[in-house]
Amino acid sequence: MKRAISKRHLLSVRNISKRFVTSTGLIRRKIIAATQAVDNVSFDLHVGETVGLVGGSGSGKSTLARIILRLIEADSGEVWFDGEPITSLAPDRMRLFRKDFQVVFQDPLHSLNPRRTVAENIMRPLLNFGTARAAARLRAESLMVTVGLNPATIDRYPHEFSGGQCQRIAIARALALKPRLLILDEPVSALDVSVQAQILNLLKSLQAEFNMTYLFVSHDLGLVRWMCDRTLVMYRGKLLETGNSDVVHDQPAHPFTRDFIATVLTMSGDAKWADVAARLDDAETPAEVDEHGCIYAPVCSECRPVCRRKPPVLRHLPTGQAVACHLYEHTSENSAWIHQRAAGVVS
Amino acid sequence: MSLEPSLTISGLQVCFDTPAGKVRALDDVSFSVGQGEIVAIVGESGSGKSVTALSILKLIDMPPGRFEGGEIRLADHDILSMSEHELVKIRGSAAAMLFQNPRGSLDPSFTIQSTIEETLARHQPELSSTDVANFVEQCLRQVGFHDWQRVAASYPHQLSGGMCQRVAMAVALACKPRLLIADEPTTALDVGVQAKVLYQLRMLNREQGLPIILITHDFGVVRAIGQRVIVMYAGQIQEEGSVDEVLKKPMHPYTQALIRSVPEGAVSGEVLYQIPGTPPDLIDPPPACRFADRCEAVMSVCRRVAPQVTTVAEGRRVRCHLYEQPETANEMESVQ
Repeated sequence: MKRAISKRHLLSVRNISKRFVTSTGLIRRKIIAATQAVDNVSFDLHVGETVGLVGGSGSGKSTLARIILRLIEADSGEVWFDGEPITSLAPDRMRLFRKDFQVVFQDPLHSLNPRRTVAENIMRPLLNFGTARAAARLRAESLMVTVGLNPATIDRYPHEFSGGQCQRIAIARALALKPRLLILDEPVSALDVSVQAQILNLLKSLQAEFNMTYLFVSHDLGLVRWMCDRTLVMYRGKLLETGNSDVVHDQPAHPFTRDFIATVLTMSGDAKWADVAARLDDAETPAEVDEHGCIYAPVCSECRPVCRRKPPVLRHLPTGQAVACHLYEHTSENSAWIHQRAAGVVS
Repeated sequence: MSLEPSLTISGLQVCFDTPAGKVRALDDVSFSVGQGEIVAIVGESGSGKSVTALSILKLIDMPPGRFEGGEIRLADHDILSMSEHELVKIRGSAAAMLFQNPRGSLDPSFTIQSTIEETLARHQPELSSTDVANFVEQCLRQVGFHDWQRVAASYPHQLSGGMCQRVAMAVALACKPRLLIADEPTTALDVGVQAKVLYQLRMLNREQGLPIILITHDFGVVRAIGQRVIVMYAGQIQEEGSVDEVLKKPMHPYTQALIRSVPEGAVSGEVLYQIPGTPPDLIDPPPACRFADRCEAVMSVCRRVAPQVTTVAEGRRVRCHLYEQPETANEMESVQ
């Protein structure tokens, strides 16, 4: 099925930052550690598009997803949904927007209420938004069919279903209010390979059927390439590279993206992962990064003096990506290199 | 490399008695692990790969678990005939285990230093205090911690998941095991950290010749460090061979289907291949081939006669009627 991607922005994220602080002391709170979970991140989601948000653990990808959902509040920055700045909406106004964006979490069994039947789980959002019980029940049954489950099993409890089936139930619940944006936070990471394929196929066909926009959070670049039109790569709270999924995957520009791809273990058995692992080995806890430098400098194989002095900004490349890396700055030395690279002379 | 395998399992049958009935978790599982070898056991949830791992040190709760038959020979021990008292002495030293959740296998109220010291006190009580201190350093260095002092002084919650898994490795190594059983050691970790942990496992194998059993559901992990691979489905070994051969030329239709359903390399826009149906209920498994109902190459014999493990080449075994010698197949037909 063909999807239509419009030019219109459904979601705009502008300069979002979030810092988590660990403090100690009962009366005089003293900050002992702070983590910049998300650092000045901006991007747009077009109507009908699937965008992948990729990074390792601690990259801030899930925090960002939660900020968009307003499950946590950002320190600064704005999120616009369909022309409305939702970060500053009062709770009652916000509530009206909630039905337009729904979320599917990683662990299907834990994101369903174990004490309620599947019917109750799927009906909950409908009841919350004023649908009558009988109508909600009918809708829940038809949603079971939509996600490929037998509606006769709707009065069972979540523990009676397998992981893949629970994820289908979670998807049915997310679809109940006909959302326009679905945030998928590692929706298949907890599932077996053969079940993964089923859920991913389901998500793709549902998207075409209901014209939804997806934000797909994942650590698996291969998956994201198959699933997503565009890919955003995050590392320690910063957006390091964005672009068309195939381009980001086949011609990664940022050294981090290249390392990240190299550590993805594939069946074709590229041995590069071990080299990267050996290099990363010494950098488990990178020394305090100079606030003024590039976040990846301590680990980067192409680190130059400038990388420790000033932070790189996202800039566009001829290949269509945007990348935050000093390698791509327009000095005369660099521009020749960039053109060679775009022409495929340098790998 | 000596020829004596470090582990031999033959005809292992394990079942669990549940209110719903007897779950036949393992059926006729036989394989061996040679000296200095990394053997990967791959399968989906419920395939019996973790039960296999736990059986090796008899770590299965009994009841509900029960060994119905077979033999496990670990070094010169006959595991299934050993008492709990005897087993306690060899756990850790004959074979050590690494689990999926590294933080869960470390005690949160002790520093890494005291955790390793405790292990040493138990397994090598003859060591002097200086030796113990040296050994702690050695264990932590072996798993790639250059700043071992800082790690030794930390509590598990102060370390990342990947560091905890490497600490768990260090603790396992403190017992000087002759076999390491790693049950999904990197499943809870992300790719970069996974690469580091696997790198360390491979180093241990290469430098010390430590044989490793690696339980995983990820063919990428199998490819990365496995030498031989065993594919399990519904409590049985379906295929066994070198990693190269099995991944390039899978023989069993299940292995073929499983490899096909990995999204790696799939063209966007294409529908991913998915195996039809669901795994069988092990309380009442299909009487003949357990994969028959989902198999694309199913024949009538597959639903009548249980396929036996056939050795198709040196070190290459498969449980499928497609590869059985015609004579044997005929014999079986006539028996029927």
